[in-house]
Amino acid sequence: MSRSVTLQIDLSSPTPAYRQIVDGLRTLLVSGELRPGDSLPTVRSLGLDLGVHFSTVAEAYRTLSEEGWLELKRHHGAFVTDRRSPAPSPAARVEFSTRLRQLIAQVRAAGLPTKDIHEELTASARELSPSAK
Amino acid sequence: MNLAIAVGATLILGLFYSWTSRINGVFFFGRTVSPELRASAEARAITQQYLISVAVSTAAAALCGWAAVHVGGSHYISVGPFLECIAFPFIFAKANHRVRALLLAHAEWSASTGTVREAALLEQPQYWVPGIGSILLPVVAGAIGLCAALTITGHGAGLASAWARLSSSMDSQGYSTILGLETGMISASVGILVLFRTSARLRTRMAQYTVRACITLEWIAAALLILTLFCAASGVAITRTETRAVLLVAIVGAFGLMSWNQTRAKRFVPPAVELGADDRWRWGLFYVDRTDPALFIQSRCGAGYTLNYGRFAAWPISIGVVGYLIGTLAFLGPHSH
Repeated sequence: MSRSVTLQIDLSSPTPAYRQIVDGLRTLLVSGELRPGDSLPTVRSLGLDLGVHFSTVAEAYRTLSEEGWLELKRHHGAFVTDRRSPAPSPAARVEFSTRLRQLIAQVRAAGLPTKDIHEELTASARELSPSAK
Repeated sequence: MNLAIAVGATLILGLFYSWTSRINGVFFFGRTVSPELRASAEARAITQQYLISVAVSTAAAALCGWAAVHVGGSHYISVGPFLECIAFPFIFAKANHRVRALLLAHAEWSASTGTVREAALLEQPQYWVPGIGSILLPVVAGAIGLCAALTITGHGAGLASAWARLSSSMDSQGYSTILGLETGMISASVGILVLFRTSARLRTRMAQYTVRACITLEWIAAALLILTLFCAASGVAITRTETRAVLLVAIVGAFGLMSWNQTRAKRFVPPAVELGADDRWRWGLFYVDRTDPALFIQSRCGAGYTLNYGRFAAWPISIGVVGYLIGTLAFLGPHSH
């Protein structure tokens, strides 16, 4: 049975399209919606579908390939690899903590209560854990 | 023979325009229009008027064709289809214009896609993408057929003599135009396929289906070409009944393929860049976007392809296709038997 997996970007968002594609695909990869062996569309095809230049998609694919998520094959698109999670480094923990604090400060400033932030974080962490599915 | 083709073409054009208006919930509404608009009384009235206009135009074209033949002779047999080719795009454009006006008057019916774009990542089964070899193979087969026919006809008397004998044999049978049509079909298919390979659209699933259909057409044309040549070379006359049978099979096959395409097209979501591109469809018919790299664009009715007139290559292709059709009709007229 075929699965339906879609990628969505907003061209009017201040976040660059390349970053949105990387973040969107990484979310799908971490959550297990995209599985090892799955084939992604070619950069030209995805670029046409999303209304962005194909080099933007190529850059996003390259970034994910460097992270070990994708294997790029010329003329055949990109394939999801069987990536093993690396051991978390102290530097990654520090970066995560900093970014999370900044994000929490941003949503707190927007008026979101601490309880809602906590619930949202817990739900997202569960959702993005393939073992929880 | 030519009368049958002219009457058939007149009716088929009329039926086609009536039919395509239904297959996609009336395609001049565009794919982005909300279901509420399509179901509204105003939209139904536009559809009704469109279908009545098509029916009246078909009848008028048939009448004009009949009158032209009686006044000017069989040379004017293609007047009916020619008038339809002019009238139908105008009828379509008028309906499209009314729909746009309706949309502007009812902003709540506009299903705006905004700037959010979505692309399917999976559900993309691997379809066969042809190489240049598979495109040119039928042409090579046709060329071998021609060489074989010349060899049979020539009996070692030289190429010029063999060609003259073959041409004479075909002319005496009266169906040599079929050879021209088939050669034209092969040439056009090759041209389209080669252009498709250079177009960004080849990467979409529907484009690959279209390419496969073109290759099938090319093979059928090559087979018919070889058959015609061998019949001419060996002196076997192609009868009127046989020609009609071939045409009947071709028409039935074409309708079957169109229906099949409609079923398949439902499985494919058109690219998002085209979904929100109503403003790029001039008169609702012609896609013009200089920034779009694709030469071939998935047509508005969901199946098949049209050209992006924002790219220069679209113009010589269109002129070539129209020129070929006019040339064929002009050639058929004076050779009426």
